[in-house]
Amino acid sequence: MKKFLLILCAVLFVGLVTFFLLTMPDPITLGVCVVIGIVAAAISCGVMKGKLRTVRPQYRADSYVRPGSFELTVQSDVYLYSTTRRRAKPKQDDRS
Amino acid sequence: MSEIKQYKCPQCNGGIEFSAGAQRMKCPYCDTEFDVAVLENYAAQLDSQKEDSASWSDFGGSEWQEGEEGSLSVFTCEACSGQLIADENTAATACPFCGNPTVIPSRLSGSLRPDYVIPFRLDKKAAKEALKRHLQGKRLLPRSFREENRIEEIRGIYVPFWLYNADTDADILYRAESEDRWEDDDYVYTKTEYYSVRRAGNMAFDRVPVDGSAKIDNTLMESIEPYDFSDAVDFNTAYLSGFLADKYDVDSQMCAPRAEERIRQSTADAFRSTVTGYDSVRTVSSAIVLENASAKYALYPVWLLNTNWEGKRYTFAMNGQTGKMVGDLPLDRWAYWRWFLGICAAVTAGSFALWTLISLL
Repeated sequence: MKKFLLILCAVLFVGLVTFFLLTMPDPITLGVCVVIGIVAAAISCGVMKGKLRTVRPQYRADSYVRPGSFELTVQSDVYLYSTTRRRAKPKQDDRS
Repeated sequence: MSEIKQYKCPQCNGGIEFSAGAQRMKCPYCDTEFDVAVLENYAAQLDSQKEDSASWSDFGGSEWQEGEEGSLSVFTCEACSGQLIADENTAATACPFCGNPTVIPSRLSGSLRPDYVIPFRLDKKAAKEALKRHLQGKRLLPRSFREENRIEEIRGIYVPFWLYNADTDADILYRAESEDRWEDDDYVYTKTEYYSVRRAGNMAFDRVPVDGSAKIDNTLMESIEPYDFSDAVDFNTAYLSGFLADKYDVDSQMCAPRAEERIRQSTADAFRSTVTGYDSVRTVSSAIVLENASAKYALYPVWLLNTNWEGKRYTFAMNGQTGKMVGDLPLDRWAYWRWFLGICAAVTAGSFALWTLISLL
């Protein structure tokens, strides 16, 4: 599994360099791709790291609610007021 | 009558324990099984016979000087006459010399007597298996921890819990907003409507548990919840035989705020879930009153497993009824960064390749 991952990373790295040399991307595109990679790695590693932590306090007592005991005696939704905002749309320049 | 209680097998006179698998009392020497009530009667008969004999247990502890032992108590094992030292909260233990399971009923009598006990459903073998499963599938766990992991101590312990019942009466005021957007050729319009929303009503909670032992980490105990109270039985010391047990050392008044906190949060969430159809909702004021609050005392089954790794102690806890296992594990930092860089490179290359393909089309 580890060897497979290393080979996969090497292949992808070579592919990346080849694409880079062939297409010469602009720095913004490359930057966006790197940011996507960093975000994906942070989320994946965060999930894996979270699996090591299982001792957590319970903030609720939902498991101990007596079945059928929840009863609403007052349920009112009163309209107060409203506001309307408007924002100018960006104009298209016909000459461009 | 002796201060300690050891259940003897009527067949072979060996020390008898509660079997989590059979849900009956079982002799580990001759494998004979008995009902709890039958054995309780038998133990009572034996106790009554012993009342006329010399109370040599008085000799126990005579060598301790006043104040020397602090909070320790000394008992004499009925099976081997060995001295059994227990701290002030120990209610069930095992003789260190002959291993006979021993219960100290005086620690669980009078106002200290539990109302209920949930007997162990899972045994030590199940706890070991659960720990193995707990370590599986953790990619960032150091390999040496998994491979060298030797459990140093496994204890089946009845942990004292306070169980709180309460009715809640809630009256909560919210401010809600609803947004509508449209546009014409020149402008984008956003209309926001504001509402005052009120919800009032009541709920009831049964047996919210709070750990009543100062020695045991409260967060660890909350992590292995919930317990199924339908398995609970009226307290009987026979269930403690073969396990450890502590009496509470944090009283119900001290533990009540934790239960209140959880009850209030669940009540607030339940009422909040009825405020629907808005884009945003915030609580303006909230009054949640707890009524008819009461507490019961119970013993819940927990398997505690301890291990040491690189000089640090790791404790795992398993719910002795449901098998839920928890325990924080160490992080392999090298593995973390290997995975981070690997995923980062793979996703970057993938997204770049995708971008190139799209731009070529």
